[in-house]
Amino acid sequence: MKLWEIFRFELAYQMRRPWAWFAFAVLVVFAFQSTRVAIILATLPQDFILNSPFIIAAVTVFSCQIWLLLAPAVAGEAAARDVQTGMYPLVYASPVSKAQYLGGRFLAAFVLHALILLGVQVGSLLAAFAPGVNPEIIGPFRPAAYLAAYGQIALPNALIAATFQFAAALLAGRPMAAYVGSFALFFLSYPVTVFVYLSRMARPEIALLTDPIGIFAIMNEMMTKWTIVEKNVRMFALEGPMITNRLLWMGISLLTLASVYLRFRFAHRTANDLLSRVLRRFSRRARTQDTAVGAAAPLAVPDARQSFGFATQLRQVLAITRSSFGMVAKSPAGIFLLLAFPMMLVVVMLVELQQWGVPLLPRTVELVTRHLTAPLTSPMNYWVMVPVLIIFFAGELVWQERDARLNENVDAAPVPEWVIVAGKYMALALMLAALTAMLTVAGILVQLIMGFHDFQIGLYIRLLFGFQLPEYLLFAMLAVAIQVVVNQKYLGQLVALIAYLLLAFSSFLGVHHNLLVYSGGPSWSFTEMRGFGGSVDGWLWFKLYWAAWALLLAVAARLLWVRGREPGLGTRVQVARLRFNRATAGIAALAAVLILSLGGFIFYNTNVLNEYITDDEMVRRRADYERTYGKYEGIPQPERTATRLRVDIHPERGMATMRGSYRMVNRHAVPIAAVHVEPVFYVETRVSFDRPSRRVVADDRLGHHIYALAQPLQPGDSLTLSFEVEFEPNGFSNTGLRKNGAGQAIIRNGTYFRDSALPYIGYSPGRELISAEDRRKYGLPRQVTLPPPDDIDLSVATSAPATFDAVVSTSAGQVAVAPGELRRSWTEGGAATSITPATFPSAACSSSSQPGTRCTANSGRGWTCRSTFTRGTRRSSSGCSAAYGRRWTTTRRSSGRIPGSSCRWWSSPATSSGWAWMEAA
Amino acid sequence: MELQIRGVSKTYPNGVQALRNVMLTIPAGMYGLLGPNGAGKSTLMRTLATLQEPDTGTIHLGDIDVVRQKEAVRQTLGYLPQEFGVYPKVSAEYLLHHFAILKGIATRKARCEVVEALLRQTNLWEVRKQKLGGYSGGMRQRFGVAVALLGNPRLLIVDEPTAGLDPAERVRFLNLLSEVGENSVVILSTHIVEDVSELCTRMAIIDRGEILLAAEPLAAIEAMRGKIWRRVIEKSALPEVERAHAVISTKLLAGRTVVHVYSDTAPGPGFEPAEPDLEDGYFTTMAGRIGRREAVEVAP
Repeated sequence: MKLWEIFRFELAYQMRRPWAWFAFAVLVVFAFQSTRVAIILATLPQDFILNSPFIIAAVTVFSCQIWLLLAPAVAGEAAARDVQTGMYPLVYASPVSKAQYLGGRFLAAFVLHALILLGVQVGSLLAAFAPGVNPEIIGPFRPAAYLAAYGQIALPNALIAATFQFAAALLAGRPMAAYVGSFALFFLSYPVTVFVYLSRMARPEIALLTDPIGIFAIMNEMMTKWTIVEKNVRMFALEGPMITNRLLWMGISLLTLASVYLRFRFAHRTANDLLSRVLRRFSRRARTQDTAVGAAAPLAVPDARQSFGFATQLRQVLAITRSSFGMVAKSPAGIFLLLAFPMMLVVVMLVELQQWGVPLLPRTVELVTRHLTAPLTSPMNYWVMVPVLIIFFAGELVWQERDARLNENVDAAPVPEWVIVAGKYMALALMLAALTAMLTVAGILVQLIMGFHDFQIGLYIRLLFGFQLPEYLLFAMLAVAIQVVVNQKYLGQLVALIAYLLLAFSSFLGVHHNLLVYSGGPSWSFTEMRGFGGSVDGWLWFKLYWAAWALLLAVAARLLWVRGREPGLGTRVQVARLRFNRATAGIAALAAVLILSLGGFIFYNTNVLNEYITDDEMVRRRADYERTYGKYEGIPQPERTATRLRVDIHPERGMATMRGSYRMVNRHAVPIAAVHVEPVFYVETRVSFDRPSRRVVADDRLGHHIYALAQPLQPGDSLTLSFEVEFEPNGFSNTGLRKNGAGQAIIRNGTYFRDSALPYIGYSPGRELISAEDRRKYGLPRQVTLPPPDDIDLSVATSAPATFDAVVSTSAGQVAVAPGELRRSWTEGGAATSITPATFPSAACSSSSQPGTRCTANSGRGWTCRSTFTRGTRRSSSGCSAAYGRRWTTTRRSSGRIPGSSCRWWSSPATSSGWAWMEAA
Repeated sequence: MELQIRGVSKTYPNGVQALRNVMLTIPAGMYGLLGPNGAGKSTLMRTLATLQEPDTGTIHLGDIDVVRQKEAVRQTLGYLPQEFGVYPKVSAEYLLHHFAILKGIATRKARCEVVEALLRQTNLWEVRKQKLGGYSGGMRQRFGVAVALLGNPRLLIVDEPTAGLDPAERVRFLNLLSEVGENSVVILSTHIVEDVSELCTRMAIIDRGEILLAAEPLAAIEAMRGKIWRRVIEKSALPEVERAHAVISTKLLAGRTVVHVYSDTAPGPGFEPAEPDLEDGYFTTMAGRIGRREAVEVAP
């Protein structure tokens, strides 16, 4: 009876508060979006069903991850509200047993979590049956699927998470400690398990057991072992390693609950944090009693001068920074971030410093760019812990005084708000700087362990402190501002987390331009050869722009800072108006000016100098391309027999010119009336023929030109196509410098042109859309992803050997490289050039010769060729048979036998895929 | 029904010895525990309220062992702590209902009656639907009293209840307590001497964990008759007087200092005999003039 009452009271209490409902709503939206936008469905190019049990289960699994970070407040409140509010003496002195008290509270937490997790199923249902979805991809309604996902995934997770959150909060006596419990689970489930599994540190079955939420165990089973048909149809059920994982962790939860029960006592609580309990032995005996009663000479308090000028305020900022930093750094979450996280990184680095089995040297560049930095908005690995903890710390800092019931004392002190806000932000910044320092230490430690001594500390500092830290600092300002504005502890965490998710998944929501995504911008990159490769410019301008926004956020935080007992928004806005003095106006105006000017400059670069194309627009263009020009696929076109190039690269100016010509032959049996040329994107291309021609179609948007020849090219005839391409620097774009295609940035060191820098002849099927959903949306027919093994690509099968001739010039001190054999190199007015002819089919790739190729006839199917080659220390043997070429785009060709053909195996390290084709001998 | 405290000691982990060998017998009725801050009053109160464990000693309420049978004690315990909070977002009536169930008043009808009676008795009936977050300090205190009085407790422990109440509230509170004390053991722990003198039939004085005196207030006062002397002096003369006499208290009266001195015989010129009150008794005990180190039972 009492248990029921405690349970009922707690349930009713929390259901009247907003945070549980908020979490529910967020989960509904998240499940809805996940299902509709179908993050995981990129792997299913064929027909898929939106409400297949697989999708429902997968969405449930991912939503559980989010839920872990959203809703710990529920269990935390249930466990520790009595202690936090100070009501516990009244409760503990009542005739209630431990079982009734803890049981009722825990059950309420569990039921609340279970109810919140229902939101996931609601969202999935809505995604499938609410308007706005393609009815073809909705399968039959199978309630068993939803029930299975809920009962087998969500409910056990509710139990496990509720247990750990409850235990953490009860132990610490604060509801916020539940967040730390949740973080521990999240960290174990997401980064740790994935890492242990992928790095094969332990047997896979063991690795799957370390995941308390079962996410990896479930996803691994389903993703790797289910076929596409199964993913559409098969009902989800726990089996194999999934069941072991669930049973193990439910067992651990029950054990934890038992130990909580045994350890808990209805007793007076003395404030005892971990550190002071450890240090208790060494502390002096405290004296709390007054000394001699009665007579005491009147005490003369010395008269200290107070000053309220700017210098004092700066000192106050430092003082607040120091005390707040101490509080955060010594908390369990702080110790995790500063000690456990870098240590984990050390282990990760030691295990992962290899590429395809070859151990790598722990060069600073390698460590920093691969392992010690990550974009803020990539929630796909363990780095997500940093923004999550930033949000947590921001909340703790903003609520520090109110939690300690010291806020009225502090608020009445003659300290301006900006000092308080600045002090707390600086504490968070100091925390992040300490993290960056610890990351440096971790990197150096790895290098020491592996016996590598070229530390390049300057590089560490430049990259980590100069590039990674500002990202964190920007986000920290956002987190603090949100916590100040949303004046409720749990809602603040929720809203900040939602903001982070919006930033991370902005492209899925249709917001691509980095002027609109907080802290967005092109990413920097650094390699030892290319240096920054010009990636700093774009990055820097965007960061400055967002720093101006951060300044504005700081002003807003200061204006809306809660001081005293008026938490209502209306009152705060009024108070904010009173606080708006000249200095504030000045800073706000400065921030606004910076935003407008920087934003304008950036906009000029990204939208005016460069073409700004959103992902949706890109998809539309590809669809249009296929619709408009798809009919030209496979039509007879002349083939290149000789390519001549004259490339002049000016790295220091960021410019290059490419002049060249193709000598093309009509190898088909019919005359060719028109030549289709696809010029290079993003740059000026001029094309001319050696005979009269007329440009019929010049579609620059879709990149397809058609030139009609005055006289059709007869079979066997050849013609020459000359072109000229100019590469010019044109600022930076929304995604930074272009990395592929033309419009390839000409950088100071390491400019690299691929065949996409030259005009292409004919229709390129590689530009077609791949995703089945996209194709359906634009009314394109379905595509075959895997042609049968004896499908021969005629355009490849019938191409002749071609010659390649290039003169490449660059500035002195650089080396020009092109495929083929070096004939001559000379210097001319400071430029180095070389000529390389090659007898490879017309594709400009970096060179490597292919010895040891042997071809034999394969009865009825063409030729089989085998070649062995060594790359590094590996020997590989590859073969091709029956002219099935492995290309990375889809092909639709009929098979046939080509007489008199031989086969060459080609491998291009740049694309790291094998090409095989037949060519006429 | 008697509360027997025998040999209770407690030392906190940080080295502070809060209670030293406390021996008390507390019969039914109002019992006052007087002492300065840091004397160990709250520790003793919490130990009696089953929220702390003593290191040594035994406590018996009738035949219930308070230390071992906490559940049984809690069934008939009412505890008003010195500091406590409430859930800010619920109303007094709602929370009091909850506590009533926790205290075992399960049937709805009985509970409603009890809750209404208590809210009226603590003068919170008018504001019963207001959220507790909006209550003033005094109102919160009264709510705590209502919770403590649920279930007609036979052991009522009240820890510094009137600190923070305005004079009218204080009188009301003491009246409320006096109605309770017939068959229950009511222990009132305070540093306000008037509370004890007005209300309590027995008292103990505690300092630094030791019981310095356990007696009836009236008897203690009587024992001091003729030994308390009073003189009005200048502030500057105070050190001299302290050196010469056993000053037990100094007060201010309209800017001049009034000293009370303990002496078996007339201490000298300028001193007049003072009518002793409990405050004098308190100060005398604290000054060590009577009852030091062991509880001295003053025979009635």
